[in-house]
Amino acid sequence: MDALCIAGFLGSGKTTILLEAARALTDGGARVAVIENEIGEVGVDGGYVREQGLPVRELFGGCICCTLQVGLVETLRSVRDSYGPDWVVIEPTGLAAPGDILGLVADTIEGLDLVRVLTVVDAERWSMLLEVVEPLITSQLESADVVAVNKADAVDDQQLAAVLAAVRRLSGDALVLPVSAATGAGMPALLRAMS
Amino acid sequence: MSGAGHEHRHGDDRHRHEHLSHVPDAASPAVYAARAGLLFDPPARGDDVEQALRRFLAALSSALSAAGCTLVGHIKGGVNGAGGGLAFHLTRLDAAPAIAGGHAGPVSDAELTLNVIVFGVDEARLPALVQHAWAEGAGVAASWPD
Ligand SMILES: Nc1nc2c(ncn2[C@@H]2O[C@H](COP(=O)(O)OP(=O)(O)OP(=O)(O)O)[C@@H](O)[C@H]2O)c(=O)[nH]1
Ligand SMILES: [Mg+2]
Repeated sequence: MDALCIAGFLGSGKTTILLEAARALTDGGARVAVIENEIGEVGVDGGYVREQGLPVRELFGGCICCTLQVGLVETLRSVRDSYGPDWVVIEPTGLAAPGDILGLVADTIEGLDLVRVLTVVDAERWSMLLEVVEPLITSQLESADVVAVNKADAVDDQQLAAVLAAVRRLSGDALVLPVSAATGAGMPALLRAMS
Repeated sequence: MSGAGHEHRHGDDRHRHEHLSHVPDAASPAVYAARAGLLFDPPARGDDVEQALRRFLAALSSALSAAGCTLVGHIKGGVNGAGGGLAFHLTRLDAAPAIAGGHAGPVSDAELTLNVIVFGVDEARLPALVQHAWAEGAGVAASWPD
């Protein structure tokens, strides 16, 4: 079983990209299961992903990188044993530090071959986010394998170039790709980079 | 909110989250999540349900702005009834919400699902801000959890 963690700040486009990634994996013949985590006590994305025909487990009322670590480990084991997916795709809350999830699952889940982190960045709100939650954004970029700079359709070329340059400075060796999950631009390249 | 802790209130029940230490203190998220039962009397057309939702989101955006909100994490959820459902997502107070879906026939009752995470607002104020925005904006009877 492989795991793909789709991290990124609240509202950056994680669920939209998750559905595309899951569809691409399923089209390639893989069995895919999804784990959705919401910090509030009411789940929203899980129902939506389920309506798209994917098996989903939901964790509410906390964050799987800290307060719900035990829940994540139990859920991953349960999904592995009951469903036997080739891929489990995890959407943490937008406040999660994916590095903490990476360390946790790599150490505790037997039978996990590969854990990839895709971090989604909201190009439209980039400077607004840096102003208020820069340490969180930085931590989400530091542990990424691939970074999708999303909502490219909502900014002009100059703004997009500036965000891409700033994100590349903060993302170490990660591959940084501009995409628009809304229009589909850049999505084939992103999906290829993750497979 | 103090130190590395994240205090999180659900009605009268006060939980102290173990930590959200990667979230800096100056940028403490305020969280409110709830389901509310909605009663449309007389039953509303699908378009009217969507307009009520839009008025609620506009009223909530103004109220959050006035309350000092510095950043919206998200305001998302749905309105689901027998004849269909609406999903909404908002990430800024100065833009229209993304709304998808709809209701086919007249709607007499539905459930509102709501998940709000904002910055710069006292979390203890959120339930009243949301419920007041619904009452003033949507003008539709709602029963909120205690
Ligand atoms: N303009 C534009 N909007 C987008 C794009 N991708 C997603 N959105 C919109 O951004 C909002 C949030 O998208 P989601 O996929 O729900 O984002 P998320 O990161 O899962 O959000 P949370 O689960 O609330 O943290 C929705 O209204 C989407 O329609 C994009 O490429 N361009
Ligand atoms: Mg989501």
